[in-house]
Amino acid sequence: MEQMSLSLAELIARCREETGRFLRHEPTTDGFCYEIVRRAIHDADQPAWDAVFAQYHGIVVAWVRQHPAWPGTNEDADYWTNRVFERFWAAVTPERFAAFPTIAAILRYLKMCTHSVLLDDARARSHARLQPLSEQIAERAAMPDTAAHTMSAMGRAALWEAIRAELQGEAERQVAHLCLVLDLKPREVQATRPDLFPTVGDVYRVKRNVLDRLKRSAAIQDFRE
Amino acid sequence: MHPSHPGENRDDLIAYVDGEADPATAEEIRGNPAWAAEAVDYATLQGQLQQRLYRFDCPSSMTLGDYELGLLAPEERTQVAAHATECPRCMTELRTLRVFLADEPDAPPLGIGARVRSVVATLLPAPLSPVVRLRGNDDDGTRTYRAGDVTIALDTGAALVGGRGTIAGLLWRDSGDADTLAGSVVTLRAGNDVIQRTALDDLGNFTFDDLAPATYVVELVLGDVRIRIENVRFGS
Repeated sequence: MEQMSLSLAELIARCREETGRFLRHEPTTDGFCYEIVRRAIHDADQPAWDAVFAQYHGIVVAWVRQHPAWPGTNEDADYWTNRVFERFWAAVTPERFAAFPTIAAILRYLKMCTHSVLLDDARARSHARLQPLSEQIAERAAMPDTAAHTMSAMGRAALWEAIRAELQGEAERQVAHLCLVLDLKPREVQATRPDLFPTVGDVYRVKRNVLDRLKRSAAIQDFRE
Repeated sequence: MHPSHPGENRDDLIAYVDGEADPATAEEIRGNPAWAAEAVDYATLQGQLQQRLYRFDCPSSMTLGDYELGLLAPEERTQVAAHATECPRCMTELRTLRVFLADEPDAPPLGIGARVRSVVATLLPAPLSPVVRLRGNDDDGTRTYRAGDVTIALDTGAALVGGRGTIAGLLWRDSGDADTLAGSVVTLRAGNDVIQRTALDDLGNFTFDDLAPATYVVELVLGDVRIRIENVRFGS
């Protein structure tokens, strides 16, 4: 293939031409840009990776600013752009590279990584709203501890199984999951499952049963302490 | 809320805890120490559990992204599809991703109340139904249903073995691209209870095995449409 014999500098120049045509929705080949990405990922070529970053940095900044979660973030677009490339680099390994046969597929995945980075920030902010400030400060001050984090994930699963064991019927399980795991309000639960809950009063009734059962449960008390 | 003593209409306490009580009820609860204390109990329990459990079983954003781009292995794809069917948060995130990938920067993400449209499939009269016999006989218990551009044939006539049997189904679209629906979740319900879950294969087939005679509901989620086939009598 012609591209593989070209120098990086030549590839960069031809790639810029290709990208301009692509963004203008003009017919284009993607061999030159693709070769740069191939060298960066498959060959772990650092100069090629620097070229990928330079070539697509502007596009990713634009995507960050277009994303609906962007206004709620506390960092600037360059911060998130760096996180996007980090995530892309971690996800698109040499072994996975064959799954991306064209530059369009590469860019689509890069755009998905943009969404993923901003979505994680949105999820974290939603979770933080459920935590008292004291716990947030304590978590940020804690040293990273992989074992503790793993046990915490197992603990959450165990807690959920303990909750399910206390509940009776699909309606109670749905309310418990939608309210306690997904933090939906009763009106949102009714809108989500009108087949189970014709009125919001049905949700209040079932949720009260759920919370009353959990209050009385010795197993759940152990988790709370 | 005008109960004569605490404990009556305690459902209002749940509405109050979640900020959905009307102002008069909220004021009544705040003004009654016993009710207010019970509301605090409910709120404390709920808060503690939510902090620990928040979206613990939701796929990561990268897994949802890989799912949307068709990069997951079939088994994981089925698992994610099954989860997304039941999870309005993940469904909303998938819709946001689809709009974002479609390069429509002005399109807003849709909220919880607008994520999946429900459709009840219509049973086609036998003379008008397509000639699809899943087991080849003239009257083998195959019923054909229609919802939009989707046709679903259900075979409920298989002989029972040991009092239990199989419901087999086949889905096809007018556009002939049923393979794009591979991995879509199909749920078998009895009343509100989930009996089994499976997924469409690349030819649009699905089966539920080891079933007792009953009247079931078959539910399929195809993209943002939930199709329900009601009153599926099996084994009678």
